[in-house]
Amino acid sequence: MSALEAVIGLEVHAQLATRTKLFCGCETRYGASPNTQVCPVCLGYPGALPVPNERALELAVRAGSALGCTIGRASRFDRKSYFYPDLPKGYQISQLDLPINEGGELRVGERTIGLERAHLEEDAAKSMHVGDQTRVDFNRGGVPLLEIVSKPELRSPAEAEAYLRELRLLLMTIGVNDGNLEEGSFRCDANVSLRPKGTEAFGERVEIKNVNSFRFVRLALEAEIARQKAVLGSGGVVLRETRGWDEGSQKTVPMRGKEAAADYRYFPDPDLPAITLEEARIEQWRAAMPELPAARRERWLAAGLTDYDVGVLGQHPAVAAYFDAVCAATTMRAKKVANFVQSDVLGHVTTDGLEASPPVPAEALGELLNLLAADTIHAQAAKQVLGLMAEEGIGAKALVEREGLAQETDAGAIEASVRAVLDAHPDQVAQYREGKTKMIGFFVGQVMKTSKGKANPKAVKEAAERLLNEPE
Amino acid sequence: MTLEEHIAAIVGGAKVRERAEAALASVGDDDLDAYLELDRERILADADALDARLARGEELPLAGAPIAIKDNLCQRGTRTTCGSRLLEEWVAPYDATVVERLREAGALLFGKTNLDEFAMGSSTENSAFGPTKNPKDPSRVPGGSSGGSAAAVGAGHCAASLGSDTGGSVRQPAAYCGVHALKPTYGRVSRFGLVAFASSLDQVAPFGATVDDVARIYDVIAGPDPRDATSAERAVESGVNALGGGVEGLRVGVVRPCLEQADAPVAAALADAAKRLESAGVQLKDIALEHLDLALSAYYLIAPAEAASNLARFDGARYGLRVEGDDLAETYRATRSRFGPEVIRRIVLGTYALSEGYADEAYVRASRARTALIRAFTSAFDSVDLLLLPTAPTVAFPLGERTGDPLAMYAADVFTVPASLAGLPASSSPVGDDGGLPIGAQLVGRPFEETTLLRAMEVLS
Amino acid sequence: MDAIDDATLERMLDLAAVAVGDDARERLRKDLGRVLESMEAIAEAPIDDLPPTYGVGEESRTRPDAPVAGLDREAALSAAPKSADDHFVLPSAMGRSKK
Repeated sequence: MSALEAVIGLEVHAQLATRTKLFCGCETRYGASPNTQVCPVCLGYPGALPVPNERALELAVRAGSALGCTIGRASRFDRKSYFYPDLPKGYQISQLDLPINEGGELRVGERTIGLERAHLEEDAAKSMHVGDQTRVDFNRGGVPLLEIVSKPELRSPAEAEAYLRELRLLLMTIGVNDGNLEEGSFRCDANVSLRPKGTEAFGERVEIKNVNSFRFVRLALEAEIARQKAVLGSGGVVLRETRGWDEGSQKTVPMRGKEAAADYRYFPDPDLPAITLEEARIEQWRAAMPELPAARRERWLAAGLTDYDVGVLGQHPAVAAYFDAVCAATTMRAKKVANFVQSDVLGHVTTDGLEASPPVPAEALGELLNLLAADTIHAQAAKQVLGLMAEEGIGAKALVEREGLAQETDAGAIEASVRAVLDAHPDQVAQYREGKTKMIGFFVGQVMKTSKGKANPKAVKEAAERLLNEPE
Repeated sequence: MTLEEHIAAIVGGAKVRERAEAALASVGDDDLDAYLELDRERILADADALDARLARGEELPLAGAPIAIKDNLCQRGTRTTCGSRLLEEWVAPYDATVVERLREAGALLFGKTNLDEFAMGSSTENSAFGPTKNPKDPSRVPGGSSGGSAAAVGAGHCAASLGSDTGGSVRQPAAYCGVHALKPTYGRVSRFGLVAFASSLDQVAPFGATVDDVARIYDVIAGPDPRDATSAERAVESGVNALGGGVEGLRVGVVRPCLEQADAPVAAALADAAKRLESAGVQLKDIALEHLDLALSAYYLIAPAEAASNLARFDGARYGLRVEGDDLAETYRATRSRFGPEVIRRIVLGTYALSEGYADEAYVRASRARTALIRAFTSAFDSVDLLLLPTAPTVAFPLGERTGDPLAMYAADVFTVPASLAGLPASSSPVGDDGGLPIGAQLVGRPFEETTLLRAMEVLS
Repeated sequence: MDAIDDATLERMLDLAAVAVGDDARERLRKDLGRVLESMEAIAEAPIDDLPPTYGVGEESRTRPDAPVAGLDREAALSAAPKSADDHFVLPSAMGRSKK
């Protein structure tokens, strides 16, 4: 059998970072007590009507812009009908023929993956099966989702995982989605089929649903590709079906029996006239969009950061913003700020959704770094001061004074201290003069001791080298 | 008592409570079966509360006048049954916007009136709780689906009431009961809290004993509502202020083919009405509306399609009736099988019109026919300001005459569905009778020109 | 449009989650058939090239992203035919495809 290639498409449902639901004013905050974020609209009560959330439209357009989609000047909502406990109206309001975003693409490593669309729809409620009952919590029902559908252009499970990471980072960076996988605000379904390399026709595809981590998406795809290869290899036929990922067996398993394709009876929702977006409004929304990861990367590289720095500091939008704010608050070079933040600050930053809580505010850290850049304190002292700032909430300057950590910078005083140390250790001086230049560290250490850490190590070293190399 | 007379009486010192007691007395035992709910104690308590508000000097445009409300409009704290077993015990937790506005204007909410189940019907015989009778002849239907609200005004219990009009459900019963009614332009009045039948066609519409009554209610309920995305963002010109403006110079097109299609007495009454308009200064001309023959079929594909979708929420899960079955599917079926036969007929028809394989020829094609009709109206309004045609082809028919024949029942809407499909404002006014059975004349106007309609309604009768 | 055959009727009833007794079923099928047959005028009208009108409303309004008080949980659950542990309760949907 000729070599087979995998054809993978991904469907991501990303919850839009709005305060309220897509069609009503109920809050969307995760973790609320069941059925406390409900109203006649999202419970599908008689007489209730949907009204679209302006911010959801804005965030959808923002995402569409960032993904290079064509923004629909007139988009429409459609009803998708079926009966299920988590669907209070007996239909889901989604978008079929005229989605808000069409086309688009996402750069993943060296390749560009095409998108079909990114459309708006409301989330279903949460249903749980308990014994012979189904129990429903409608808090989630009506939450705004952006369904982002890729073209079937991904070629490997690893690439699929990379796509998901890129997409999640992009959406988080522009404030559209909080990237919280555990809370289910970023969900993914995968479609995979196999075909002989070099051919155009698609094989029968299998949908993999309910995989709640990127790693599992990759593992599930690997397992499913292996399964399909085995089926085809033994002369069998791959059936179109929906499968889930079973962590225990590390395999994909059938989710539902064979069924006729559903008839969703899509038609335009008569409660929602078409949304017309004028160029001016789209431009306004585009202008308000936060910097895209690609642009930020260019900016940071130009400022002297490495690829590695970009990766670490860019992984969370609030952390990135914090870093930029610190740079703006200090004269220290961006690369040095990046080093300091990574080594001494990041470990103490906590994140929650799109928010981050650093140990000290950006302005305050900027003040500390200015002291460091001016050699008023040395690195060791800076770490100490940072700890005190986080604990006590007092500013850097005040703490340096209080703790007496200001370095001795007076050249005369330093020279005097160095002379004193050299005079006290003639054997070590002789060793240095014989060629053991490493002894310089000893002298610097001694001066640091006698000055109780106040002397500027750099200045000490310079002075020591000068004095040691003076002709006798 | 008209609203104007009621207000004058209150200003003159009468009490809302007295007026309420008089209204309740006129209802008596409700032999007409106009009401599904008439909570005398609550009504009298509300009347007392209104008297107190008036005594405090509050400005209440409706001054405690009793207004009956069709039972598909949510009224907080009262059962809102839609004439259906599925909502027989359901108490609405919120007010429809129109009900809220009536309350603010000081109306005395006077009972929930009978209707065809979920507003589907032309005779009120589809109510799960029995039909309403025509006040002019109790052996006949009051029309539908807003039969109860029409009868309440026709029998003189209230000067005005609220109904809903989707394909004629307010105009046609107004014609059969001999009262006035105005279906506003689509989007003029909020649908929030009106239990949806066909979302792109439904409008809340007032009945009134006089045109002034209709205008007063219209002024209270019309206007944009942020809770209804289809509600038009437009200021409302006062209907009351427009009255007395006359019709001098208005151009009225008589839709001759409709007169010819109607029964002879109806056609005769319409011809007389046209002459009255002419004497009042109107320029008459005969007009034929293209594609009128498509309207009834288009309506009976579009309305059931939207209805099937709107009624999917009645599954016994979160409110209303649930009939438990062996499993979930059984429960859905057993519950929804309690819809009446007309509702089931329309749900199946609507499901068919939307389903894969049929949708293009059914729902989509009907929506193209709708475009054709809208363009025909737009073209007609190039040369006239109003259209005149009968509201219904016949007078009120006997109870039971058409219940076995859906097509015959649907035919009662043939003159009202066109304006519904086009979203145009349309009215019915009594213009004569046939052996005591009222005949109604329908006026249709341009979008948002309700004031023109009201001026002409005044002259018609 | 042809009259509705029994298999089609069956499918529509299933999609609409409605069941009808046997005698009522035949009457329903016949009535619907007559209604559909009466719609010949639409099938033959010269309207192929007209765009469909799905609603006559003007531009859609939107609402600001601000919370609005909703329904009290007790009120919502007490109106439900069955509830338990702050949840709405239905017969199990297990084994039933989401369709």
